[in-house]
Amino acid sequence: MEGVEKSLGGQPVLRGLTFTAPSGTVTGLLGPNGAGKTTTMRVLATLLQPDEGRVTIAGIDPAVDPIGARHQLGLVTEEPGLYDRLTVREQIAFAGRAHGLSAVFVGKRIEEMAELVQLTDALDVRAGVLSKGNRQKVSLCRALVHDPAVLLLDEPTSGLDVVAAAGLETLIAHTGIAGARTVLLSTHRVDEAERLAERVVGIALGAVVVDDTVDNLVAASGGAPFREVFVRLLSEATLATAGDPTPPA
Amino acid sequence: MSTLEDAEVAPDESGETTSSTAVVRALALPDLLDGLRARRQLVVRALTPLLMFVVVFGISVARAGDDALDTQPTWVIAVEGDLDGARQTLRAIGGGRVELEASDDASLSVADGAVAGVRVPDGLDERIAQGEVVVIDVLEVTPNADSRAAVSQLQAGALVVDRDVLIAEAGVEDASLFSIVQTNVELTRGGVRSLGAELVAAVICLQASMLVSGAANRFAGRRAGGLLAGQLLLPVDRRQLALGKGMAELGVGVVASLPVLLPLLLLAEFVAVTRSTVLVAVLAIPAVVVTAIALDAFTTAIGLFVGVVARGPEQVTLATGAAVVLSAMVATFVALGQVAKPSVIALVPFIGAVNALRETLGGGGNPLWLVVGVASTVGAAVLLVRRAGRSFDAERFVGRAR
Repeated sequence: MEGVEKSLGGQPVLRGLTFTAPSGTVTGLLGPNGAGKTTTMRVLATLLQPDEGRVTIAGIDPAVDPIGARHQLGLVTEEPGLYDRLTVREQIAFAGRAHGLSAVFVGKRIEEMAELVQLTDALDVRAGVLSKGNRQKVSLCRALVHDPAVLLLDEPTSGLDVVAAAGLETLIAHTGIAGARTVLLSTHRVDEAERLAERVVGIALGAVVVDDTVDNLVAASGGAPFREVFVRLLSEATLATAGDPTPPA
Repeated sequence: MSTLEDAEVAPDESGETTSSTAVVRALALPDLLDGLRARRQLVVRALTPLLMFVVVFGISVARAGDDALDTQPTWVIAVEGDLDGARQTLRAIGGGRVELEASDDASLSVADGAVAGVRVPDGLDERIAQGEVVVIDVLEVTPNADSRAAVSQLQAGALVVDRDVLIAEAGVEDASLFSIVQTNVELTRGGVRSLGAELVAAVICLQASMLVSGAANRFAGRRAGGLLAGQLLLPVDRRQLALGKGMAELGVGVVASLPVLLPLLLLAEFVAVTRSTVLVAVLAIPAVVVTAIALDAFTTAIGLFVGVVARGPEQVTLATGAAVVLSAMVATFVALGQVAKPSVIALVPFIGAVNALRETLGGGGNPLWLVVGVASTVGAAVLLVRRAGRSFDAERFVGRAR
């Protein structure tokens, strides 16, 4: 994202947001409630168009080729958004077919992903009777069925119990999920970002205030715990931004 | 164990999913399956129009009866039996609003056009004057508002004569001189044809109205539940997504209407074969099927449009409620109403198709007007879906929350 600005209902939400999420890594998008994380994810997911600035997804500008950009995207949100009366297999197959994949290939792909996320036994179960943790796994499979270059995870563990959240985190960290793709994880949980992300982008009041690797941030602070470092940086930047309407450099 | 990295994404070599039709079909399928598996919702959608029909039919009958009483100065009553010996009594109970006509067979006369009929015993006037209890058979055509009104007048008049004669002659107030036996002779060709056409047109009109709330509520629910946001990420044209959802809702609506539509088809065909012309007998089933699908398409398109443009569930509820009320009004005033409409009303979507179907099944209309009515209705549905597709804007659906 480069200099992205976005207002909703006349209120500025993103103010010149600029960052890059490199491929082959998990990048954490961290920030307090109302910081603009969800709006950022929706702009990246081509659901919202930036008022100003430019977005590039796997080399494609969605303003120029939105359908091409969507081919490169997978999205998992806090709410899985499944059809309650469709089976797990049908949910994933629908997404695969809508991406132009053949029925035979989608069938094979479903089996592989179900094995990976341990949902093989539930493939022919309707989504309405699944636990929320398993529904998120289905959502993850659906987002990956077309093997996208970019995977957007918008608060995927919110609302999950500790065990389910830990299971999903393990999956996200799995090379079979992350692989060589770009993974952007939006979360307000610093510990989750520390466990999963190699790089973190912290935003506050719609602007980037932190953009570095976890290791660099910790090292620069003399080995202080990441949570402490991040909260301090965020507080300082928030105060500075609140006092100055222009975003920090 | 194989991993995702091992799986190579292969394009569909057959090219099947690259065609627009295949894309729309693929987008419609999950909504269709999900809708068809909601069995309780299907049952409600099938039965509700029947319940509404009872109310609408009741209102229509009551309203038509009132109109007839207010506007008809006289009714022709066919009298079987000793007319000369009954003239004074029949005029008295007719309240000056009946014209008596001698008949050898009153039921046949009613079938041939008399508003109602009576069978009277010999020397009716004399027997009444003597305070003797007499039996009068009254023959009516129940679906005919004039007929019902005439019979109501005879019954009310009989009570007045009862009172006057008994008080004058015997000083008795709590007995009746008349034993009125009421018979419905509605099974005439015209009566059955008219009733059948009205019933079929009204029920499919009400059935179609159910699709507005079905489509709008399901769309709004999926929008609120996050399902739509995921689908907006699919690499397809959003107008195709709107069309796919519309087609799915139409499919669910048609299936939901089958328990009602199939008996209606049988009824329409039976009435056409036994009471109408060969042309109507040939056209009855295709006319009902095509009209039902056109009405369903129109109401589905309205539901989709409402679901897309509404800002919240309150607006969906308001709009779908208004649609159901309007459909009930069309059923009352067009399908079951008494006043003949000009055929050119076929140009008005929905209303035109309902009116033309009624005219066609009733044997009184030109089937070409039905074609016009169906075409105008389907055309309006297409325009609505296109308009909904233009409003299929992610900013509208997800742009509120941060």
